[in-house]
Amino acid sequence: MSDFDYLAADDIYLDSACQSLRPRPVIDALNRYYTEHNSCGERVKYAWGRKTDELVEDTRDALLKFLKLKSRDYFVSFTLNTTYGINLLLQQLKPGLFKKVMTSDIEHNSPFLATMTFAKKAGIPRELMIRERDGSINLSNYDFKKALVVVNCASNIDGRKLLNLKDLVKTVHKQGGVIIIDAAQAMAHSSDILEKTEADAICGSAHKVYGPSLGFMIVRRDLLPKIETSFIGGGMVDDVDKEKYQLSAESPNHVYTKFESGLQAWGEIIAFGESLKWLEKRTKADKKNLADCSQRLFDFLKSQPRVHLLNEEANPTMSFYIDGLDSHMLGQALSNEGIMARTGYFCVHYYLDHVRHYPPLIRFSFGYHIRPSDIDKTINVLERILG
Amino acid sequence: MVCIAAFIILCLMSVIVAFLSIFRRDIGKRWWKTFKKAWGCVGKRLTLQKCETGFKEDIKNSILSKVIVKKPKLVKPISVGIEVVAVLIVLVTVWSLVEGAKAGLALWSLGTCNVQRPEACSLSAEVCSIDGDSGPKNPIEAIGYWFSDWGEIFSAIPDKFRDWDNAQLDLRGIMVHANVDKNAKSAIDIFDPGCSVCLQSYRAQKETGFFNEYNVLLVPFPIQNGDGEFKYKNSKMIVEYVMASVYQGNPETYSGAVSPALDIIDRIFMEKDEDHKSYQKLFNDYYSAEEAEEKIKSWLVEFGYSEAEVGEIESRAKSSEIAEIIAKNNDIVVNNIHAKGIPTMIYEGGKHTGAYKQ
Repeated sequence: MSDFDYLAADDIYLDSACQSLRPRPVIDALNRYYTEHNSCGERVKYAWGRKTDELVEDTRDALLKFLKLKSRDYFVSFTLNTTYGINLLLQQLKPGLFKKVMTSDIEHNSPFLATMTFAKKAGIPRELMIRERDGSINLSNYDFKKALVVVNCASNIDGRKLLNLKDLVKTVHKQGGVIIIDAAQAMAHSSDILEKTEADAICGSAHKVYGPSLGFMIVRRDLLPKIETSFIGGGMVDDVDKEKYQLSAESPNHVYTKFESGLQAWGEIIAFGESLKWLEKRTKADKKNLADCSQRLFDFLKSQPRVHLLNEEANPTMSFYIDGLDSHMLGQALSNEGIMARTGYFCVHYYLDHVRHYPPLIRFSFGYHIRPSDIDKTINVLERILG
Repeated sequence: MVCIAAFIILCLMSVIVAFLSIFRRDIGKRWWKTFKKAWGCVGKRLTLQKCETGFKEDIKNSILSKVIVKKPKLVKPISVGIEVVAVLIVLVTVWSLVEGAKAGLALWSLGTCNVQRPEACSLSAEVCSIDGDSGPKNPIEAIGYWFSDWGEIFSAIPDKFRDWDNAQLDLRGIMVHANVDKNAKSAIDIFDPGCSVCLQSYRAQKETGFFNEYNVLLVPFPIQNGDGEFKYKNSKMIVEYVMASVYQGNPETYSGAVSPALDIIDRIFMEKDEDHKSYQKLFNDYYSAEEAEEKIKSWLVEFGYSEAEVGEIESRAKSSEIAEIIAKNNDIVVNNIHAKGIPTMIYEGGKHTGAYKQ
């Protein structure tokens, strides 16, 4: 694909679940900010600044549009990454509102750990929900009364989706709870699951959506009364007296400043908007190529007796281990062949190590940059390794 | 096992890189980053925490990852090979540590790092060693010797804390001064007339006034190896004559002034013949037993003894009485003082091995 023309023929990048490769338009947008209108957003009146503000606003709008969410219900704030976003919320949600905090067993450390500290801070129990093999949660098994629920809607192990997300959101809300979605892995290739969601907040990372290194939070406006601002600084206030201040977020037009303390990564925000535009332009052929590549590698891995594949079905994210071979060693061996893949537990230590007792794994995760030749080479190398 | 081996290699490499960093900071900086990660992992494991990849895996993986694609069948044997090498590294290191500890302990307690061959220890003071027997003849014997060395080392440890009382040792020898200064501190100096280090020590003692500072009892000790042979071929005869000279007449009244013993020792250690050959060297390397004995007898005459008195000393030298005194001295030196080499001196409440240094 011409948007990834910088990728050499023998460089095979299979770590998009960590961060996707950036297409040219995204890189160009970032460069344009630095070379054409480098400026502080939100606080200046000169032309470059106004242009920056305009493009940042476009990104906020684009993100809501991407998930078919209405700006009267939601607002977008930017942050460092998904983990940071989840922590910003959990550290500022009023703890007395909840009877328990819930998460699931296959979570990334990001919600997994943040719910631990929340439970400790609030002095409430923490409950782990079991995800079914298809990624869903059996809602009848759990009581969500006044619960704070933090779950992913797509796993970073095998891409399995929270298929009954909509039902979960409804059930949680019905029982007076709050639900925060970790959308880090869903945004790039499974964003449909999030469309028109009614979750209270969605946290994600632009760098997993072909964007620059950046985090975002999509927050329901009616969640704000439950937030007690404690992480605060420049860019968040309209007025400051000796002992008090007035938050900009009190104005509906600037409500996003609730979570944006200090100067933001304006260039990255603007380039993220470009990545969303780029993503919406993916053609059926692009999607078919991604699906075909995923299917081919899935079929190959599934056919190998020594390979333990965690996926039930083909997905751009696949994790496995090979009997008798250390995955970290394999990762190095693949790297020697130009294949870049993640090894270890991918920040899901609890489920992979302590529940399933798997050895460290290898994860292949694809993006739209993937080429059929990449799969040919990967299969060829694996065939040689497997003998 | 690979983990321990990796730890050992990590220790060694850290030392090397630390040294290298002095000259090449860039290389040092790069390697320290790796080592910091590795040491972090060691720290975690020591505190029973998990560490996903440590130095052990890094070493093994970097080797195996190079062969797995090209020669996957070699992975298993190489992996086994790495484990075997790791076991060997651990064994060698543990053995080295134990040997190092043994040598260190021996050096501290016995004054030599080589219990069987004290002279072979370059870390200890220069001595004429009192060697054991000819050593082990097979691996089983070697194990026995190894354990007996530890026995010797441990039995000598109390000596380090012992407040040596020369009077209690009950050694016989030559008082350097005829009229002992009651106020001077006592010293014992065990020597072999054939020992070159004893010669150096004696000269140093004379030069620095050691003999004036202390009431010194010179104890002649012919070094006998484990195989029964004397280390210096004429030492036994010289010691017999020296002790016979000391004990001429009433043993209770002997003194350096009337005894030619000190003169004999002094001449062996200090003087040379007309060809400028040291008498010690002549006795050790040139004189036959008969020539050596004749030389001693001629010296006695020279020192003022009549032929009859020399004959008396000769017969006393070969008597069981002198043999018993020497044997008793030897027993004290070996089994009580635990001397592994001489000269060994005892003064100021401590045992000192090697040539005297002020």
